[in-house]
Amino acid sequence: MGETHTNPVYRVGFLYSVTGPYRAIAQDLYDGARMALAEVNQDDRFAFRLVPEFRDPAGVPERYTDFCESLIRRDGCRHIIGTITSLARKEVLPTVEKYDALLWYPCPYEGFECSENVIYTGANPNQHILPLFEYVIPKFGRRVYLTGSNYIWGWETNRIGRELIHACDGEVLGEKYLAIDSVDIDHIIEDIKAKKPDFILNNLIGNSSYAFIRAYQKLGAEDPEFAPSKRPIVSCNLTECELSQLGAAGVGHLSTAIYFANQTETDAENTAWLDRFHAFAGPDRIPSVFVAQGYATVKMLAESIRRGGTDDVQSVRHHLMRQPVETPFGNVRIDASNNHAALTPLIGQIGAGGWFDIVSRADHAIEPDPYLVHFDADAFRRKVGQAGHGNLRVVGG
Amino acid sequence: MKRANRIPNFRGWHAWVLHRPSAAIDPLPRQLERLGMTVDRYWPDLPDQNDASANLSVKPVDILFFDADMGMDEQFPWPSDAAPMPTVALIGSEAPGRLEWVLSRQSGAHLQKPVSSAGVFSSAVLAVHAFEQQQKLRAEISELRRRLKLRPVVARVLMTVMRSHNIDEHGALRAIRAEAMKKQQTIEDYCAAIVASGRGGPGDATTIVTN
Repeated sequence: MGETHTNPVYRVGFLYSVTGPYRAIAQDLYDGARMALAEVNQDDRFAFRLVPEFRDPAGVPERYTDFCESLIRRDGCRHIIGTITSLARKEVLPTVEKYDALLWYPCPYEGFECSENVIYTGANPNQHILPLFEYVIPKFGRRVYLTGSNYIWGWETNRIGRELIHACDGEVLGEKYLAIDSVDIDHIIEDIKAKKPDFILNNLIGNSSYAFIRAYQKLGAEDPEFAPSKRPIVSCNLTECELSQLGAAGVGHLSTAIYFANQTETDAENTAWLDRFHAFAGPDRIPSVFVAQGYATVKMLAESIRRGGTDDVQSVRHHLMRQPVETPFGNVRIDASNNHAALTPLIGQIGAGGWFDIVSRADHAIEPDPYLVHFDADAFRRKVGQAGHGNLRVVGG
Repeated sequence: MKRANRIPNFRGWHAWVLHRPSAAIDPLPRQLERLGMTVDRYWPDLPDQNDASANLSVKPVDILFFDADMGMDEQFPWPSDAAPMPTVALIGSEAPGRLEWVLSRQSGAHLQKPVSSAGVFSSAVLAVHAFEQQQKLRAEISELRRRLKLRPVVARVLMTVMRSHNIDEHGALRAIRAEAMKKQQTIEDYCAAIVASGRGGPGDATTIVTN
C-alpha cells in the first residue's frame, strides 16, 4: 500500500444521480469512478489519497447547485466530477466559477460552451453526430426524421442534425419532441410510418427512448420497410448500460460513442481493463462508455495531481494539458485552447447479448471543435456524396 | 420547421477590442479566438479603416467590442448611430450617464465586466443580428424616403393623364401602375423617367394606354 501518514488526502466531490430518471447512466459513471479510486489509492505511484464525497441529486436541478456549493465550501473539494445532463451542468457552472473550482464533465454533449473551470472529457458534436451522419447517410440516405426529449440536448443535437442534412441537400421529414420520461410515442410512430424516412435520429433519453425503440420494433414486425437494416434508428448517447432495457428491440440499430466494450480483437489493453472491471463489478456487467468515462476522469485527475504534487486547480489544469493520460479509450489529450478532449469516435451496431458490434472507427483522434468553427459543409457533402442504400459491413465482434 | 435566423459561423472574422489593458476583459480575446476569429486590441484610438487598404497591418474589421466605461464619441470615426459594423458594449459601471451613452452608440448587444467566456458567443450573435436588422431597416427607410420625394412628380403625371384621357384619378393611377409594372419599375421611378424625358406634358402623356 502506498499510503503513509505523511501522504496528503484530497477530497473529490461527485455529483451522480444514481436515483432518478437517468440513474442507469449515473450508476455506470459511479462504478467507473469507484473502480478508479480503488486503483489510485492502492497504487504506490500516487503518493496521496483521494477521498470521494459522493452526492446523489436524484436528477433534481436545484439539488445539484446545493450539493456543489457544500462540497466546495464545507467539504473542501477543489474538484467536482459529474453532472450528466446539460441542464445540471449549467446549474452548477456559476458555483464552480465563483469558487474557482474545477468541474470534470464526463458525458457527450451538444457543445457551444467553453468554461475555464470545466474539463470536458466527453464527445462534442464534431465527435459524435458528425461522424455518425458521415457513416449513416451514404448507407441509408439523406431523408431524416428527428426525435428528442424536450430539453437542450435534444433541441441542439437535432439543430445540428438539421444543419448537416441541409449541408448535403437532404431533407428533414419531421421533428418531434417528448417530455422527459414520457412514453407517449404512438403519434411519432404513426408519423414515421407515413413519411418513411431513410433513418431516424433518436435524441430521446431514458424511458422515452426505450418505449420508442420497442414501438419501432413492433412497426418493423408488421412492415419489413421499417426493419433496422432498412431504416435504422441512430443515437448519439445510447450505450450498453441501456441495452438490457431494450432486449431484442434494439438489435440492428446504431449508436456512436468513444468507447464500446466490444473491442477485444483490436485492443489488448482493453481486455486487461475489462478483466479488472469484471473483477470489480462482477463478470456479467458490460461496461459502457460511461463506466469508461467515470473511470477515466478520476484517472486524469489523479495523474494530474501526481504530476504537479498538489490538487491546486491551476496546477492540475497545467499538468493535465501537458501530456496525454492513459484511459480505457486510449491516451487522451485535453486541448489547452478549449478544455475539451481529443477523442476517437466509433460507430456501433447493437448486437445480441447487450454488446455493440463496432462497425466503424475513426483512424485517429478528432480534435474537439465545441463551436463547430471548423465544420466544412463542402467537405461533408463530398464525404457523404454517394447517396443510396448499401450494406452494413460488420468489422467488430 | 424553417428557421429564418441562421447562427453565423465566425471562422475567419476579425474583431477589434477597444479597451484599455485590463484583467476584466482578458478572457474576451481568448473566447473570440475559440469562435474562429482573429483579434486586435486598441486603446484609445481605433485605426483608420480607410487606411486599411494602404496599411496592410490593419485588417478590415467585422465586429467591434468597445469599452462603455471610459469610451467617448471622439474615439469613433463614424456618427454615433451609424457604426459600419456590429458592436458590443463592454459594461462595467451601470451609472445612468454611461448607459445613456451606450444607448446613443446604438450597440446591438453588451457584455458585463468582468467578462468570462460565457456570454461572448451570444453577444456576438445578437450584435450581428441587430446590425443586420438595422442595415435592412435603414435601406428600406432610405428607399421609402426617396420614393416619397418623387410624390410631386407622380402627382404631375397623374394630373396630365387625367386631363389627356379625360378620366378620374383612380383610372389614371391604374393606368400608370400598369405601365410601371410592364417596365418593372416603381410608379415613382416610372413617372420620374417620363418627366425627365421631357414628356409628361399634356400631349406626351397620351402614350399611356388606358383601358
